[in-house]
Order: sequence, then structure tokens, then C-alpha cells
Amino acid sequence: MSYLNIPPHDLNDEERATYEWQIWVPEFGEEGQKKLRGASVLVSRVGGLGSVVAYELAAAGVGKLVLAHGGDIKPSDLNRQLLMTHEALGSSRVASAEKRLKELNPRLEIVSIPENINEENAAGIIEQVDLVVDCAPLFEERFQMNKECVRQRKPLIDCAMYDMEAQLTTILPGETPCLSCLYPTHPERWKREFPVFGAISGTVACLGATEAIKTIANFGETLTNKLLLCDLRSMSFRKISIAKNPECKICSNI
Amino acid sequence: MKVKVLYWAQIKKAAKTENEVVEVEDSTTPRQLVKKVAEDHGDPLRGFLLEEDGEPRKHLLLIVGDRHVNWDDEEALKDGEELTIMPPISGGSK
Ligand SMILES: [Zn+2]
Repeated sequence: MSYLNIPPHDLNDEERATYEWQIWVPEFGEEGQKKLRGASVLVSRVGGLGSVVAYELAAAGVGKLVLAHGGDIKPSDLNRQLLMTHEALGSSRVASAEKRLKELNPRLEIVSIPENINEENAAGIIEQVDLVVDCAPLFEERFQMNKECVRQRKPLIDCAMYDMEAQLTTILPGETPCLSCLYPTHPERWKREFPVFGAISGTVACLGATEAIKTIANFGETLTNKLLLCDLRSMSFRKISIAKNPECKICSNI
Repeated sequence: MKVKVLYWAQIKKAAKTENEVVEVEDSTTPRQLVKKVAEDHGDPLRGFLLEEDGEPRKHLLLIVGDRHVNWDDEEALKDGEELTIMPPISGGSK
């Protein structure tokens, strides 16, 4: 039984030709492609992580992306926020992201929201999608998305990184621990500036996009009830078993 | 008995080491071990691991071997086991 039941969307000849090589992937096939085509995903912040998540999902043929990210492009974005360009310095981040994604996939439907996720907008934005990939730097945003995904029973792929270390988990509300199960109290002392290479955030983003594709097309084994820890300084990967917190304030009653 | 403590991300910097082997009494719980390394190291590690009142910061993730454990888990560590202490990390960008 799959958690998400995306109605398959017919493919046209251009789409069949574009996605031919991935349709060859065993267990995915044309059925998987039709589900991607029918799916909608929120990528929250299209920075170091989210730029690459959005790019991979656009390349894979997801039907609709909702992008939420406030602010304008700064020079310090350009070592990792791959949907931003030098030419577009000083202009809107989501506008640059939308333009780049459309160059790759003009069939893609994009909803660009020039705001970060907050308490007021979270519910309405998440109502527009089937699945959320969380690429936010601040815990307030992460907890907001977690709470709303639990309320709307939508899968949340949580990607995080610091320096050359990363962690990843796929949250299916009701079936797996949520973010608040892992962090029962709000972390307050962690700053949002952090050391990062684009190759590291990009790696984590590709892992997150892979989780999104598997969750939508319902194949393979996802990081449900698991936390993947990656130390890219030593190239060591560990999969940790995680469990629901029976006292979780967000998900224990569902 | 001896147990190994592994530090991640920001707290690795505060501990100035990736891991260390610590001699502890039998029946030490993960929570007690966090308090012990915090007191042994002092600041800055102590400030990352403990609240002002000396109790552990509950937004840290504790992992014994390959299993996440809750703060109120009273199961004692076993000789040779590894405790990983992870700070909350987020990432993304501004
Ligand atoms: Zn929970």
C-alpha cells in the first residue's frame, strides 16, 4: 500500500522522448513517470539545497513545483544556489529560479512565492501540493512545515546539513516519527550562517530529490523511520533507526 | 567499562575531537554520559550540551549504536557501545 496515491497523468510524445532513459529504470517505468507528471511538490527555499532539489525534480518531469523563498540574490548565494545567476544579482531569487527551471522544462507548472514559509502562509501553500521537501535554514520554518504536513497528512522530506555533514529522513505523518518527535524542544542557539560547499548541499539535495521521486512513484525503499547520516569529509554513511515519540505534541494523537 | 562517544557537526568543534573513549561506571545511561562529558570538557562543549540548570539540552539527538534513543530512556549503555551526540542541523540558505 502506498502512502501517496497520485492519479497518473497521460504523457505526450515529447514527454515520452524526454524521460525515455529513466522510464527504463526497473520498478519505475511509464507508470512511475505518469505519477511524477501528476504530482505537485513544494520546495521550501530554493537556496543551496532547494535549488538542486527543484532542478532535479524539474528534470525528472514532476508536473508542478511550488517554490517559496524570499529575498534577492546576493554574491554569497552563488557558491551553491545553483538556480541563481551572476547576471541576476540583486533581483528576486524565486524569479531567477523559475526562469532557470523553465529553460530546462517548459512543460513544468511553477507557482513562485517570494516569501519564506511562516505561520500565516504555511497551511495555504501546503494545500497546493502532494509532498514537501524541506530545505529551510531556520528551525521555525521547519517546525511550521512539519506541523502543517502532519495536519494535512502529507509526506515531508527533511534534508539538513552543516559543514560537510548531512542528515535526511522521510516523514510520513502517522507512520513515522515527525520532526518534533526528534526535537521535542526548539533549538535556539543554532545560527543560520554555516560553512558550506555547493557540492555538499547539492549532494544532500540529490538524495532528497531521490526520496521525493521514490515516494511519489512508490518504488524502492525510502528513509521512513530511518535517519541517514552522511559525513562527506570521511565519506561515511550511517542509517539510524528512529521511532515516534509517544509524547510528541505534534503527531502523537494521529 | 569503556564506551565511545562520537560528536557531530557544531559540537565536534566544541569538543575539539571527533570521538573519544570514556571510562564509565557500569549502568551508566546515555543521559548520564552526556552530563559526564559535558562536565569533563567544561565550556564550550558544556554550553552546547547542557542548559543553564545543568540538565541536557533535549534538542540534541542521542544515538546508541545505530538506534535513536529518547532522553528518558533508562536503558544503560553496555561495554564497548558507541553513543553519538548530534546537534540539530538545518541547512538550506538565507
Ligand atoms: Zn511527532
